Amino acid sequence: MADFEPKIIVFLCNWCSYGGGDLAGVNREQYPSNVLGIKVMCSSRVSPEHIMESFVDGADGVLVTGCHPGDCHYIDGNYKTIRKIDMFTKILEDFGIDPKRIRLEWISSAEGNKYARVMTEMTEEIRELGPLNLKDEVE
Amino acid sequence: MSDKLKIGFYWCAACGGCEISVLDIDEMILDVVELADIVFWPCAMDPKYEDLRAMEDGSIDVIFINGSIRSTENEEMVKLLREKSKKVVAYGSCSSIGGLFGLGNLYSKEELLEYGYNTPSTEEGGVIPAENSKVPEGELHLPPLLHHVRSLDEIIEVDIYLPGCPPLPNQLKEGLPLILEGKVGKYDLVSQKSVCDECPLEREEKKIPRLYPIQEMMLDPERCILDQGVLCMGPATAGMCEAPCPSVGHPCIGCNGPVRGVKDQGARMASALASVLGVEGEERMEESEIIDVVKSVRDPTGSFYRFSLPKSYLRYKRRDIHG
Ligand code: SF4
Ligand code: SF4
Ligand code: SF4
Ligand code: FES
Repeated sequence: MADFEPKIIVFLCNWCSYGGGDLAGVNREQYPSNVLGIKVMCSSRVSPEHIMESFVDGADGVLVTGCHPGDCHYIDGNYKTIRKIDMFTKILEDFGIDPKRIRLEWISSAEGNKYARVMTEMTEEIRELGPLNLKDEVE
Repeated sequence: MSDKLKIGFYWCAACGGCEISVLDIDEMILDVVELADIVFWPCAMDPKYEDLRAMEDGSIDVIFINGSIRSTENEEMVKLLREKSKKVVAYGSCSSIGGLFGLGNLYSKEELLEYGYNTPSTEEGGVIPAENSKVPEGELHLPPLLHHVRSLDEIIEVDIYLPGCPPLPNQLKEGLPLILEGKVGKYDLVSQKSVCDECPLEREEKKIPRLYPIQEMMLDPERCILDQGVLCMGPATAGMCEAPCPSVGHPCIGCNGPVRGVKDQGARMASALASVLGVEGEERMEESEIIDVVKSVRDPTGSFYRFSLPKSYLRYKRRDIHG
């Protein structure tokens, strides 16, 4: 598994975490290039369907990021996100998917260093788990 | 020969409910017989495999296939029926979205057989039926189970989907004539509206602080069941049934599957539910308290995917978690 490079989709909320990612860039923080960012207006915009689709289309891990509790631009979006991800992680587990493949993190626009740290941690964790192989099992 | 349409019915891994539902349309069955001759219907007529093989390709105008695809026999039969038929209708939820039996996809076939034949509740105690066995009269063959339950369209091309467990008389009264007259497209009978859109109960815009098992609740028959704290699949389920279940005080359990255009009923329900669950004043709460609400959602996988698991994104249990 030494040459396995994980593919990770990270959803970035426009008002906080995207800024955090931007800052990480400005500050020249180092983090792996395994993460592919998708900007959304709020973490609550990410639905379980998006996460499923990411996995089915080849992601080995999915990271959802948003503003810290209390800071959501739309007031309670991230509370919905907390519940959504929690409920959905249980569902994924029933389907035999390792719950470590999905992660929720709060990253503010001032936390460039946290952004880089989370991306690094997630990449290493998924590297350890190995690829998520959803190719059809044969009869 | 009459120039009436030639139609047929076939069941795969089914409970029989779909077969019965055809008779549920009362006197309208006479209109159907007026329009069509039934040329193949094992439930009522006892034809043999050879009879079907002997039919000319494309000689059945419309075949209605119900039940899930669970065994190699189901698989072979529907492939044969596809050749013999001009139009294939996936009749009922088992056939169109995998159905109730699809919940078995959360276990391996070996686990299911073990559970079915080797638990204290089973009399034979540990005798799992063999695929081949010798008896004085000769050799018997049982078609093996497939690795997982499938919807019909995983095996053959489907021309029209008609979900429902089983499709209800009102769905059939609307749908059957259109099917026979060739007036419906593939997904026309899968509603774009949800059960909530058709539900007569009164909804409020409010947060639901937790869910309760239905047996613990005295439900107000006028108010939305979900608002009262009992799980109702209405928001993530296709209508056209006219919401008979919530109308008589029972939550929708999702039998029609997802609304047209939605791929994954369970993921949709998780979204919908996460948005309405919650407590007032949660801005001042710890994350763990916010998550507490979710604990009251019992068996989300089994409840949200009760009828549509084989057609969800993941379709069956994967082997990603190791020991
Ligand atoms: S769809 Fe429902 S009624 Fe029809 S065969 Fe399946 S379980 Fe039975
Ligand atoms: S009772 Fe169920 S179907 Fe009716 S409005 Fe409420 S959630 Fe929707
Ligand atoms: S209300 Fe729900 S469970 Fe009842 S018939 Fe309609 S879709 Fe099926
Ligand atoms: S706007 Fe950032 S989580 Fe809602």
